[in-house]
Amino acid sequence: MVPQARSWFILLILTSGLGGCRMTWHEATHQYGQYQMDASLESDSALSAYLLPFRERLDQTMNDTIARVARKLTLDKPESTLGNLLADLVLDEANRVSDQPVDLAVLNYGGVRRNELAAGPLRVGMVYELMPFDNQITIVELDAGGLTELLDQIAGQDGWPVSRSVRMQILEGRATAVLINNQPIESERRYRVAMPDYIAHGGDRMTFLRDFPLQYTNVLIRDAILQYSRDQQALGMPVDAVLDGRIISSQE
Amino acid sequence: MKRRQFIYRTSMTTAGMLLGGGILSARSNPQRYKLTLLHTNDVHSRLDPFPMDGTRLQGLGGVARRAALVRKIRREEPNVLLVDAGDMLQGTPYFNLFGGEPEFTSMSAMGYDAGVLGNHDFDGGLELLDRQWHLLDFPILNANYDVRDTVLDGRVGDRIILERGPIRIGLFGVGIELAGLVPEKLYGGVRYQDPVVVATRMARQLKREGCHLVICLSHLGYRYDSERISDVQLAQSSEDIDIIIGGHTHTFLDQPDVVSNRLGEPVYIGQVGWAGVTLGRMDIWFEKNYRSKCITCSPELIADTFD
Repeated sequence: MVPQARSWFILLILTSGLGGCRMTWHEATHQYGQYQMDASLESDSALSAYLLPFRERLDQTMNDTIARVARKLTLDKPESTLGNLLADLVLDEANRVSDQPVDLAVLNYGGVRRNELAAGPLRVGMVYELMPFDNQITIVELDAGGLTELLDQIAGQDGWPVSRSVRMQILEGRATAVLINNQPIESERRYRVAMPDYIAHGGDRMTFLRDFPLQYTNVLIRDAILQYSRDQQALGMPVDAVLDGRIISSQE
Repeated sequence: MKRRQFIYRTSMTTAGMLLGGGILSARSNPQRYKLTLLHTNDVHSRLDPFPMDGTRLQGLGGVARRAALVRKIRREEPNVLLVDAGDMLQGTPYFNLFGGEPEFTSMSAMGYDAGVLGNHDFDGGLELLDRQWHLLDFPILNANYDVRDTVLDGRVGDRIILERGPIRIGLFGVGIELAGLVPEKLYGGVRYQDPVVVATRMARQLKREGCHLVICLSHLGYRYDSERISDVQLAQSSEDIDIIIGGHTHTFLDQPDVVSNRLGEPVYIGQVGWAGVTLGRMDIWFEKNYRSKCITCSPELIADTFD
């Protein structure tokens, strides 16, 4: 066995020595470009045919027009029309289903999945794209410290959608000049805050919220949006929202 | 969006170098080999183009277009790789109604070579992924997710080596930390490991296994203000990664960011927004020589601007 091992050893030395002379491949030049996937491109007919039955089934439920959007609503920071619309309707729905008053509503910015809601007909599918998750409205009972922490976190992320009952300014990443229903935060009070169960469970780095008692409403946020839109339509009203300065960014 | 088509504004010198080998390569006479890397990320169940409703991305995207375009490129180019950087699922009613079936089937039909799981790919839970997995005929690579205690055991890979002619291409994937991002009941049992540590190990191993090119599919996100791990940070701390195809932050990079790694070598980071409204394409020419370094290497990306 020993001679054999030695010959392997010599072969190993030879091979590694040869390595320097062996031809190898190297990356030499890179060229980069992008295709914009617009209507000038052809479509693959086999894949189109495959998708057709899925789209037909989808259209049966998702193509119904349930309301009219008055103007293009957009999502932005610190405050936006789309954010205001959603936070306000979540607050109203929470108040409708809860036996005690709810003070405010907040939504995580990243949980709103479209940045724009087009003016014109609002179809069910658009609401699914806005809120594809099966998140339900949850009411968390916060003490004054917890509420301050929540609003500071929101300020630190440059503003999330909040309901009309909130007024605050963002100064150096913190919430200042806070009013809840026109009143400063009272240190001895408890506040009932409607939010997606996702953040109530600590999502989006809101882990501190796990320490507070919560109440499930069993109403999906998406269903609340659908119901609100249908109610507006029944009243002959469009879906609409305005900016009212509920969150102002003070840094210049 | 003013970009129309795929336009190279290539100078004559550059074009000459690419086509004929140029002055430098004439001296050393290396062989050349071309690889075409196509990439998507964060398609989010966008199987159809956006509707024409006045929103920013109206009329863009759609898998049937992508399939036709990829087929055309495959006819024109000898060696094409097609990869995705995660969040294939969630965002249109297709996912709510069909649980990922048309998304996975379409990607398989287009001939994707590899993908990685993003955080939203867990939105239907592990059991749904397990149920739909048979529709994927390309490997899913999440080297920093330990899935051994879940139903995905044996399904999620860490790395693969693809051979295109004489070129060996190593691919691996890394995913973002799921805790705090995905409800635990949807991913429970998947253990997250430090992506830098895992990526360093994977890339070194792939180079040892003889790969000429190492590509990392990443769903970490392009860059953050905070210290959160990102593609830029990963590139800076790496030694053996050549290209990062990224996702998660929905960043529209018109051209790859070129970041220096620990050895001062360039790492190319590409990301093409979201929803499949853009298909990224990187053409890489390899040269063969007797040196340990290449001779005609151009450290900068060339010719990638748009009208």
